[in-house]
Amino acid sequence: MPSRPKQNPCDLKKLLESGRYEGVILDSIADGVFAVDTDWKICSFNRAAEEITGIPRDEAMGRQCSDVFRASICESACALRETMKTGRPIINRAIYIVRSDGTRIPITISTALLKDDSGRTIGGVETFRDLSVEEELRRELAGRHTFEDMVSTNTEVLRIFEILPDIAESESTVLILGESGTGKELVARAIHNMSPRAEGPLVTVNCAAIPDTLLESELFGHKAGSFTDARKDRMGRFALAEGGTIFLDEIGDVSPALQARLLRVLQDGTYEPIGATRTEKADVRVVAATNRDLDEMVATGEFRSDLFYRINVIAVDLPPLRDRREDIPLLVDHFVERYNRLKRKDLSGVSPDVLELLMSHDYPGNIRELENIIEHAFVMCRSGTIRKRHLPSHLLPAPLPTGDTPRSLPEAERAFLLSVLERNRWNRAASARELGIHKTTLWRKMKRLEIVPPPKRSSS
Amino acid sequence: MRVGIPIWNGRVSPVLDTAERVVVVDTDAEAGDVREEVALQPRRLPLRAARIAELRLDLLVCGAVSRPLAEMLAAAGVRVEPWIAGDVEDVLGALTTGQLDRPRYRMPGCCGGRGPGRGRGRAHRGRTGVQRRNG
Repeated sequence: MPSRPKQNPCDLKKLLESGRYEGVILDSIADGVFAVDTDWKICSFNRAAEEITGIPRDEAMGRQCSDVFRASICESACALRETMKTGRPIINRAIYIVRSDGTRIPITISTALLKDDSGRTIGGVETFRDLSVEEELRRELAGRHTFEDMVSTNTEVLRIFEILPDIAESESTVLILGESGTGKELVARAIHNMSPRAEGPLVTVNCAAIPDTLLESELFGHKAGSFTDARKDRMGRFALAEGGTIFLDEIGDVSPALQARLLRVLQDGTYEPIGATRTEKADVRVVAATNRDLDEMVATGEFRSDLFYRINVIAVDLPPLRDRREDIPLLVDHFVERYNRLKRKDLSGVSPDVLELLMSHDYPGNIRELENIIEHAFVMCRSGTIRKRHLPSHLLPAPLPTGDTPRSLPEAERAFLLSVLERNRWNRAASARELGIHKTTLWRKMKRLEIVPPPKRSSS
Repeated sequence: MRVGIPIWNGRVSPVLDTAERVVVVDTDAEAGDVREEVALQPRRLPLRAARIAELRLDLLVCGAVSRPLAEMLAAAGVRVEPWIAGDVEDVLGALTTGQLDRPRYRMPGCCGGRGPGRGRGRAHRGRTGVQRRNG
């Protein structure tokens, strides 16, 4: 068997340097690659670039790169222009291009400078990767976990998503329960948008935000002269919601007198504006919400039982975020995407340690609190990935009380206990509560680690 | 005739979906062409299509346009001549002399004048061109 001539590595290096195989190498890459000269004319266009853009190489060569590439950022934030200006490469920026058939292709791009032997910039090179398949998969997955503007993978919430269309279709009154910030208004909006009343108005009233003395006039309207400041007739929110839906948020905060009037609207579908002699008919669907325990309020006589049974025809109970932690990564992506759109930024997401921190937080303010955290990060982070330094300071763990890094486990434990005690002003009961241990256990640990409380200052 | 062309650096904007300004030219004006430049702010396509429709153009000449935006413009009754590239002045000249079908004004990959974006809406009716009103 004849032996193959042995290739000298130096010969191969020379051949590669000669540029004879440049085209073969570029065409073997799965990513699209093109290069431009300093006049932004295309001077290299590989096979993958032809496939992704749908433009044959011979049509692309010599043309303005923006006419060939047709990217969402060509006009406002050309990545290659930025690299040419700053000398810094850009890695994996997510954008889209428009193919000749009108399809938007999601891609990521990276850029680099082309320099001659003397170090002078002679052009730039851009590589890009087609993300259509990934995007399709992402959309398919997201589709399973989204409903209107809500996202979740939590079984309980998915069950709610499943029954919401049927709830919306019915004309029944709905009571949405859940802590503050769990998305009660989003559910109300989804119910309205999917209902036969979708073409009509959705009027939201936050019953807790309006003083009780004004709420009646706000809901039912008034006639001129019915009270001192009533100079003109004024339509109430029920009249404004005619043919649509009224969302009564924080209904648990309504006074007993107003509860009676609301009961009448729900029972007879009629009401009287303040000072009116004629009864008005209300063609309005009522969706109510509260973060209070209405059962208990009924038991203590704070909330009328007949009104409770009228509004509690269908109840939707939204779990707090701490009980659906699996949703945090999805919600983070959702808010990053939203704020990218709103703030016209291009942040790629959060770093793994930020996600870890967000997963371990308790969210007393629920999803609204998570959204506020992401909004804060968008102000602090200009580009790239959201990192710990972009988060609000209250989320970050307190620094160790001494500048020295603990070198052993007892030292680390001592430093940690000190930080907790100092944060709780040396209140051992509060510190033990934060640590989730008994205060006797805390006392034993303090003794073992020789933690001595500071002497109490005199009150003089 | 009122013609709109999204403009960027003196050239036809490469992508209508993200174009920021439109030059509107009234070719019928008595004292030569009357021009104005208007901002095209909305990023969301329905609002963008509505904003373009508000310009009451007889023809919109543009570069690349995504299918959803092209469909929204067609629904709003905007006549569009897409996949056009080049300096705005050259394109306007070609439009008035009926030469916009020439391959040099076509974006690469758009089949030398028969790009896939054409033929939608009313853009395909007759030869593309504007004749100046005599007078």
